[in-house]
Amino acid sequence: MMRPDRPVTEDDLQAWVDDLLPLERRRTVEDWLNANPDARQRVEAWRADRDLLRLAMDTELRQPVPARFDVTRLEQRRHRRFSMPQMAASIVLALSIGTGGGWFLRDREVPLGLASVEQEATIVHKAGKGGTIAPGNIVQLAAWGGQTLGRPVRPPDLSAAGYQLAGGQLVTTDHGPACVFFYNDDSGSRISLFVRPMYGRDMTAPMRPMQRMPGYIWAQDGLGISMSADAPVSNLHILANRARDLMDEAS
Amino acid sequence: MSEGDDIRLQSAIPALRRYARVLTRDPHQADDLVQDCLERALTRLHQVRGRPDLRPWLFTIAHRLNVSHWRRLRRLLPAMEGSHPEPMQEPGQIPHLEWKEVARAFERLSDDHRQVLLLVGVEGFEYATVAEILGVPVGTVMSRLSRGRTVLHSLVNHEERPMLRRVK
Repeated sequence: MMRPDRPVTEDDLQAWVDDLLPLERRRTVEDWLNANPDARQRVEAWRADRDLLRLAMDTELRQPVPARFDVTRLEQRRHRRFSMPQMAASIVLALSIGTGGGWFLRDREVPLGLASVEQEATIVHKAGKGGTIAPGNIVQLAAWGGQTLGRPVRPPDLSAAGYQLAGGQLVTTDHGPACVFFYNDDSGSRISLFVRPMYGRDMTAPMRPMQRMPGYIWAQDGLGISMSADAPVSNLHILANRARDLMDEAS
Repeated sequence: MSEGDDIRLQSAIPALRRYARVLTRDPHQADDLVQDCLERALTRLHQVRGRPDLRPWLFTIAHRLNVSHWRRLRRLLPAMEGSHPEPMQEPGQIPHLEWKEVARAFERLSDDHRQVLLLVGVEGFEYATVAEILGVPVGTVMSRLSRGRTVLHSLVNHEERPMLRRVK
């Protein structure tokens, strides 16, 4: 234990300002300050500065806390993120037009070629339930998407088959930007058409069923395309063929 | 996570934001730092169960994140050395002359001095806690505190004087 009457040090003066001296020691320091008016003036000035700084900075504590720092919400988001299926992990959905905010997931294993299109299309179809742009802006989206993808992208007209274009999104994936178009029919069933350029692999590929959800996937003319649905749709294969033919004609 | 943890974490956020502003000198960067810090904190909250005051723990995370962030940034942008970031916005209150003077002088201090003056003088942490947050010995905290207070006071008294030499 240090003797309470040892010489007063600079650290003692700081602790005096901060009220962190043990009682005994404080008495010693007080006595010393009484004998050294210059030092007393100095520590009292420090204390006054400290009090003013505290006053000034306490105004910051009264600022409203933004909603993004709501712990309950952060916690929910974290759980949602960790409970996403493994296959959802590789996509980055950074830009979505409309009300849907961007969300992203850290990449893990990334499949190649058409398999990556399938994975991305699956995630986008599921994520696209909110936040899409209105049908009126589709032309704009197609133009924007065409620009971003580096080639024209026009959503095929599937109204003859009973599916109306309902909206779309421009999204980014691990393999660059992609366009998604959403279609609804009268009964409320929803299909999405996911389109993005292929890079070197599977530039054209025959149509095959998707593995994890109702849908078909293929590549034509350097574009990877998937058509997927919420629930099994009886004529989805025919519809996918129709879309492929229409997009062939358009290019 | 229990409801108590939630509440303790939530109630520490205003102080965390304030510390982050002192660390970054920029309100937007500060809030990004707070976000990173909270995300990290949420994954480790079980480590501090039952601790009544989460501020020292959160501040330690924020300080480390900030240090590694600046290390990364310095590697990327060597030219940024020596540039002075914009001072933080004034508190949105009717300016009181003396507060303003002290707050303005505070902004002119070195990062090391500002942090110690906030952690000790404003947050009221004990010296050992501050040493832990900053990852330095208590002696370093004490010398920064002494130097910081001296410089702050000389700036308050002589606003027009140039910034004193920065000391480690």
